[in-house]
Amino acid sequence: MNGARLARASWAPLPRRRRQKGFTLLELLIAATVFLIVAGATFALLGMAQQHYQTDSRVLASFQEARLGIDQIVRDVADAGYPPRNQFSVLPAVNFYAASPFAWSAGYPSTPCTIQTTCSTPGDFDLIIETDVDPQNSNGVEWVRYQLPAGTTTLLRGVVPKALGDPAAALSPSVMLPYVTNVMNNAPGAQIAAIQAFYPAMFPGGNPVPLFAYTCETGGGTPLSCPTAAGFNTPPNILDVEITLIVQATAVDAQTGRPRLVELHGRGRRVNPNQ
Amino acid sequence: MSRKPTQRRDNSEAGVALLIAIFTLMLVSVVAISLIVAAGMESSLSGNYRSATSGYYAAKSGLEEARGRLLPRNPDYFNTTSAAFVPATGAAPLGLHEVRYVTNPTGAENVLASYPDMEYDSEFGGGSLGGATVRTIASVAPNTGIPGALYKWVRINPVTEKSLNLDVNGDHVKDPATLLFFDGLHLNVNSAGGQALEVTSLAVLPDGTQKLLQYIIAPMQFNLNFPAAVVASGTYGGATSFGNQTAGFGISGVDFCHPAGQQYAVGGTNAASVANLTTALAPADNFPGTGSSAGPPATASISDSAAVMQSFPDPLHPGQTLDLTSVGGLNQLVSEVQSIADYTTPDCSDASKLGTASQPTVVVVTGSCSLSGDPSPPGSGILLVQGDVQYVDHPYDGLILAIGTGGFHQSAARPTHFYGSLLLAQTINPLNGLPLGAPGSPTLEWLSATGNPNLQYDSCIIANATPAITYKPLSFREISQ
Repeated sequence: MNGARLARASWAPLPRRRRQKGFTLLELLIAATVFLIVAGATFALLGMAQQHYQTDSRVLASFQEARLGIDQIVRDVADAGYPPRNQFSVLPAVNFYAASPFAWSAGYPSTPCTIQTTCSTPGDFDLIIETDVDPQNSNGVEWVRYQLPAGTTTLLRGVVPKALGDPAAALSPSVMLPYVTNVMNNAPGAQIAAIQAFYPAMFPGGNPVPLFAYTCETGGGTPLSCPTAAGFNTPPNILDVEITLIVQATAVDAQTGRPRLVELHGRGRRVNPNQ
Repeated sequence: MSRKPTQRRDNSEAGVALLIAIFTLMLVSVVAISLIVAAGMESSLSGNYRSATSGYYAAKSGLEEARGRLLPRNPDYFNTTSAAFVPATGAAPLGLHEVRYVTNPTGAENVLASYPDMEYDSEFGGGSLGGATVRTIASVAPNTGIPGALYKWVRINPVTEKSLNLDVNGDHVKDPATLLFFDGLHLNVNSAGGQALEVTSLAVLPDGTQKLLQYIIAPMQFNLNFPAAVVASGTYGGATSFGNQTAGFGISGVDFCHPAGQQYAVGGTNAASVANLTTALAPADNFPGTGSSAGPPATASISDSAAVMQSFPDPLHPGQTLDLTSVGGLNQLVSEVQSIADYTTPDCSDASKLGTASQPTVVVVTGSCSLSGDPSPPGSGILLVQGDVQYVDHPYDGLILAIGTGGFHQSAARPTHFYGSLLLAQTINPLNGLPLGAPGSPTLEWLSATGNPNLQYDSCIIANATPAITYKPLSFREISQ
């Protein structure tokens, strides 16, 4: 009995001591490997997410810049032609009323040009809006020009007080300031070709995409796209301006290496009368 | 004694597992949050644009509601809901600092307190709104299930040069007190035409986006001011006569409303017509003059109105003209009247459609029209009749346009009166109903010699009969907030 008890007492703690030694080397290796795999995958995912985040942040920055730009253009078009002639029984000096919601060149203000034919502005990448941008001040009407010169990627905006003479000349390059950058509508051919390789539908035929498209009043009839409006295809008859803005982000897609672009559309409708 | 160490080891392992789980969860959470933030930025940006556009159209809906409800023909006309909210036809215009608000609260909010109107004082000067006479009216409640407009309030008020910050009349002074009017082409300070009103709308979206838009609007009247009490386009053939009326009564160009103003009694549109009318209207005593009113000289009572009628101001298109001596011009006038008509009927049997002085109507009668009786008040408005008109007693005042078969007949021996103006033109061959290439011979009969019949020009009745067809936006701007 005693021997049996002793023997039991001497054997009993042994398995406990082995368990108290901790994990075996194999267990640790397996655990460490699993942990490394999980942690590695997680960090890899995190790194990828960060890359995406940075790329998307730049895309969104471009998107926001373009959106703010398009909002301002739409608002300027909606306000175009303020104050119109009908606000005056005796017309003031030319710089205190809007002779036409949209100014033009050449022939302003006596001879309206024909859009896409004899007009240097308004055109596919050039628009001059005539309005009083700050009616609370008594500083008269301003000309607001949006222009995207051929082969460039920076949309320019310029504001000058209306004066006698040609509005396009008054809004010379020296008064035009960068407004939205990385606008690809009228980019150099090589850049358009590079984009078209990834997005074939964005630049049909590999040609520049007009920034502005116009709808004209037709003397009480149905408004038509200006180039099809025959005798009404002149700047004073412009009723709607449809804006297409293609902006490229400064970073390419982190995974695919594709350029990231956003194409925004806006439409401004003038409310003020054109006479 | 033997179990305690075992329990300690179990607890220690459980803690490690928890730490590892928490650590892993944190890593995954960081990734998830970064993805959510990126996606959130995108949706918030597109949300901003949506808000700006929604705010613009919400404010515009307020402008359009106010513009529409200013028209008496609108079922939700302001004055129908609140008497004399805006000046009725012929009433005095809104005075300076008479301000009207259309409010569109959400629930029980007080929009004028929650979203105070700072713009009024900036236009009229500090404290102006505090001293203004303000009335409010509720927006039109939408139908059940349809969400209402999101604007908060719309202000309607008269304007001055100072409030617009414009020198309207070129005197280099921005007058703070003289109200502005619109004469059809320009604003003016001479009370010419309808009163110009400023409509300002504030929209506030649930996300806080605000837009403040402003119209200057003015009523556009369907003006038809003919140069005589009766104008007969085409060549009056003298086929009918004016009978042998009692001296002092007949067709008169004396303006009944303003006797000092004189029009011609009858106008023709070519020399032959004028000659025939002169013969038919003899003796001269029959016209002009009503009772003791001094009429224009008899020799002036018949006019060659050709020049006026050839370049008649287009009632729908200010600045353009109609040639009412041609079938084309007359048909254009007919189509314009049809475009604003309240009713189109085959005859004049339903007197309820003929309107009253307080509710004038525009009625197109596609057939003949027989008018009689002495309703009180008589019908009023514009009555375009494409067949012949039979007229006796005093059933109607305003404008009767007999354009079609071009016949107007009064022959019953009863007291007969008509105040306003009358146009006769034959554009349809009465025998076969086919259109004519040039105006034919109109028929004018004012024959009865008894009962003192008189057909007299009345500028006030004409002005009242011609409806405001719309409140035209003269200018528009968005006010920076």
